[in-house]
Amino acid sequence: MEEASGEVTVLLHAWSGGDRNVEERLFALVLPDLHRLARRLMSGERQDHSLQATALMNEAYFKLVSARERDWENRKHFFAVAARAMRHLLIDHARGRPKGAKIALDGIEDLLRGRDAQLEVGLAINGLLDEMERNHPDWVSIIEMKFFAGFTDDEAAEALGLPLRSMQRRFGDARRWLYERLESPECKGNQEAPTIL
Amino acid sequence: MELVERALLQPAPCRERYLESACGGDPALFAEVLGRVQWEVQMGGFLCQPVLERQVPLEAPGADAPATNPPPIRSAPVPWKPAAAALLCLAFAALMFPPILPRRAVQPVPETHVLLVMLPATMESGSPADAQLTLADLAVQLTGIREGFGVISPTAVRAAHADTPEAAWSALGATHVLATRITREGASAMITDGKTGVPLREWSGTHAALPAALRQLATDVFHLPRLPPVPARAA
Repeated sequence: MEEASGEVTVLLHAWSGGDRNVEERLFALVLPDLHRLARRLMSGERQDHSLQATALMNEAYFKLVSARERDWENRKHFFAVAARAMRHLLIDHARGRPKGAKIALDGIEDLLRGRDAQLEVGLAINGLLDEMERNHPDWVSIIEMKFFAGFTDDEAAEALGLPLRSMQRRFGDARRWLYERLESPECKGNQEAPTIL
Repeated sequence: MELVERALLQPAPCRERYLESACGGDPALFAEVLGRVQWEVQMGGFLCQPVLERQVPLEAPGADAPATNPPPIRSAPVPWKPAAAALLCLAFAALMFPPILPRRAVQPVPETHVLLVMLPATMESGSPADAQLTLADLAVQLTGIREGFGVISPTAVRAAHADTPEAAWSALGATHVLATRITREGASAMITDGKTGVPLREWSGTHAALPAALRQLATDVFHLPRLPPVPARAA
């Protein structure tokens, strides 16, 4: 565990420095915990009602980042990476070709039953998020936390270290940016075909 | 965004007039907010319903306990003069005859059905981030520590707009409330009975001692297993 803790910290520093090549390795480390997050968020068990998305991600954070390295910057980056990993998990599932060799996704189908409409929207905006990343990386994190990971406004604002109103305003701007592109004629002809329905 | 939300609550034909009034004659603000309102209308609920959404909302323990009308536990009239006299007598007795007064015993807390609501720290000084991290750490450590022991983290409390002891009880069904206060001089924390507000255990000390003290408070009051040591913070 010590070894993994050190590795996550090094990878987080690289990621926050702009090195996106480390994402795959980070995802592999955090995805098993996120799968558990998905299960608990959607399990509907009464006992879990107090355990919110941020608390669950905190749990993963405490497990994966050594005590010495825990600070707010690392935590912010960790949450951003975790929300992105959640997006990848869901998109891979929606495409019907999960990278399941390393990550166990057993049972995710049950969790996502009845979520086809949202998954289709997720699939449609996935490519646009990569484009958005070039100019507005903070918007992408907000969409990933709010839409893919199910954070509340307060949770997303806290995770990103933003005032609530600023986060809400940026979320509105990001939604509008995506909506405009989805509605444009070029995009309508180019959307990734949903394969889940 | 609040103005946008409020405008969206108005009937469509009334929105512009509402915004003209709400923006107080500021044309730039009016144009910006009106633009946002129009976009919200056009987008509908685009991306507002997440792929992953918790299915169990925060709720009071019983549907028969309306959050809007909590019993007036703390508003009951207090006979101040007799109460103050009694307190003075007790304080005098405690000073003069400490052995004859029983030490305040921690109320025995049943082993089941505990819901500890951790209020966000009241900050008068210091770093909010440090206090939040300390409380978040404790919430994570306490979650699932024992069967029937539930914790609501400060983040969830804020999301539910229940950051007073009264709201923690009426809206979230807290059996116990943990309140933390940070001042320039130091820190203090208190666990109270959720329903009556009676303090069960209090602590005050230095900022540095807060993380360990919070753990001690929780484990003492609820007879919980010993928690792992407080993680060291990065310098």
